[in-house]
Amino acid sequence: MKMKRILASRSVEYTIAILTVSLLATHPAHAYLDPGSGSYALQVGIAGLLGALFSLKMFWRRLRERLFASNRESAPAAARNLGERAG
Amino acid sequence: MNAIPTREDSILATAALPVTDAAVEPSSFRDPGGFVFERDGTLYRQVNPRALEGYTKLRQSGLYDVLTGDGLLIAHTEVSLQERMTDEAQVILQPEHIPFLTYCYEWCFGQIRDAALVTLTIQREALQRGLSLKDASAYNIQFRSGCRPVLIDTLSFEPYAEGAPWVAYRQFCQHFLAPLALMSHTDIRLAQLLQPNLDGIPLDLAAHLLPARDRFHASLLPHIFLHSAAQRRHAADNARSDTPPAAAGMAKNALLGLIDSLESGIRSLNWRPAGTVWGSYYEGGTNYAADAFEAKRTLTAALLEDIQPRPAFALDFGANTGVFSRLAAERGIETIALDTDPAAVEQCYQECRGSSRERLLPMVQDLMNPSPSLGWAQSERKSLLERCATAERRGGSVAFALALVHHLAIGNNVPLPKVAALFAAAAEHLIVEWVPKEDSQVRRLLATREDIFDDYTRAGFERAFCSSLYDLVRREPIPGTSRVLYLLRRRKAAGQ
Repeated sequence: MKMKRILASRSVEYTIAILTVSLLATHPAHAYLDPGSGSYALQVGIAGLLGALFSLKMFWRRLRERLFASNRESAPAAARNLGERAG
Repeated sequence: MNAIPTREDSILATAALPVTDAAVEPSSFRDPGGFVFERDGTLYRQVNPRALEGYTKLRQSGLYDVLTGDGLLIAHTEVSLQERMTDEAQVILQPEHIPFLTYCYEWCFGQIRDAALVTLTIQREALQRGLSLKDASAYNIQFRSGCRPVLIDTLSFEPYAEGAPWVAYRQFCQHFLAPLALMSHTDIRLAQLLQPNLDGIPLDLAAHLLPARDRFHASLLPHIFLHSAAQRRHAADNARSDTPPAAAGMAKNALLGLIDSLESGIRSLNWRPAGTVWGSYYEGGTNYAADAFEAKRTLTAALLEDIQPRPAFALDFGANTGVFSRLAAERGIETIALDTDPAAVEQCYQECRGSSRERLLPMVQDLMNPSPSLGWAQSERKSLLERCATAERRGGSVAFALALVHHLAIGNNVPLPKVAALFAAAAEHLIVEWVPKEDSQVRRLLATREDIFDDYTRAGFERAFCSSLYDLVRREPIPGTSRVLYLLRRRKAAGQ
């Protein structure tokens, strides 16, 4: 629980720092739906953090699977880990 | 009337009057990439040039086969271009039929949660194949028979451009994450905010209503609180300058991280129905004995069997957890179990999901204030009664009103003739239970108030229900109780 809180507070710091640096950078929208410039800015702002966390998660998952040679990824599609296929 | 408009006029024409004997679905006007229309009772989707690339890639990448194979995307067949509605049509699709439409403001917590997870699963699968969802509207998800959520908008896919953020991120947060967070952490009834906010709950409103501790939630912090702040900040930026913002990229890995973070957030949100009056209605027994309850079930089934030809739809009003709805669903009837209590609907939904029960669809619905027509020109989202009428046209329908009339007549002061008229507008057949004043449930309703209900007698009930609106088909007392079950058939001129 304590660990969870520490992680949460660190993610706050990272997020705010990255957000401050790159908040003004956005993509022009080409879709029929207005994505909202604030929503674009936020995504770009937290992209680095999200990408890093995701890579770490995938690395950890692969490592765990190799170590324990477990194959628990045979669930139906809705629960399937599609992120694995990206690698 | 049969003239086909020019290419330039076609988009305008589809949003205005039908140019053939077909009619454009009133909610299908936002995306110029295509639209849905109905002709002779069959639904079609027209693919326009703007959406052709996305559609072609959906098919060629194998994404369509994967998603339809997994039941996540609605299947369709391509039909002749002769079925087109306007000249610019590139492909015409005939999608699989959804028996009864429900909207996110009528869903229980579990339904919104599953719809959110399906949307994220589809987006992740799409990204693997070079596509991305260009919208993440909760209205693009419907529930098929057996409570299985499915994406119904085949044209929601566009080619993924490397470096582009997710264009539908804001919409996903407003349509799914914010409502689920509010329902889970603030109050389950806040799902009702989806009804006036058809493009989802504004994030600043969600941030305002969520408890302060959620500012430390790993998913709600970025996707609700910081997101809301970024929207506020950039709204001011936009007002100050009309110069295009600088381009910036978002690596695919980061985009997958965004989807993963949203999914973690959705999975962390839970709600267990407990402590409501109706959610535990059948627990510990009701006011009647188990054998009387069983007799009521047997009688209801017998009355249902008496309806010939068998109706295609059943609407169980006040269904609670759907105990009686299952009688219809088990007979192959598309059954909608409606109840005002989100806990009861949640129990019904979870049971339905767990048992893969076919043909049962629960929804939250307050009969004292049923879903109205909403949205643009009040025709974008259909009212409950409009959808009931559509169901009846597609194969006949029966309404159940079991242990319900006393709640409407005594609990909410609705005169019996008005109660009868509502059911007559909803379905052509009615199985209704008369609960007299001496019944313990009615006595409980009258315990704290003056009995002003002089007409609430069996004679008054039969006057209201069996005189001008309905013909009496069968009447059966429920053994072991003072209650009576009626099977009624609406007269030709009555009701609608």
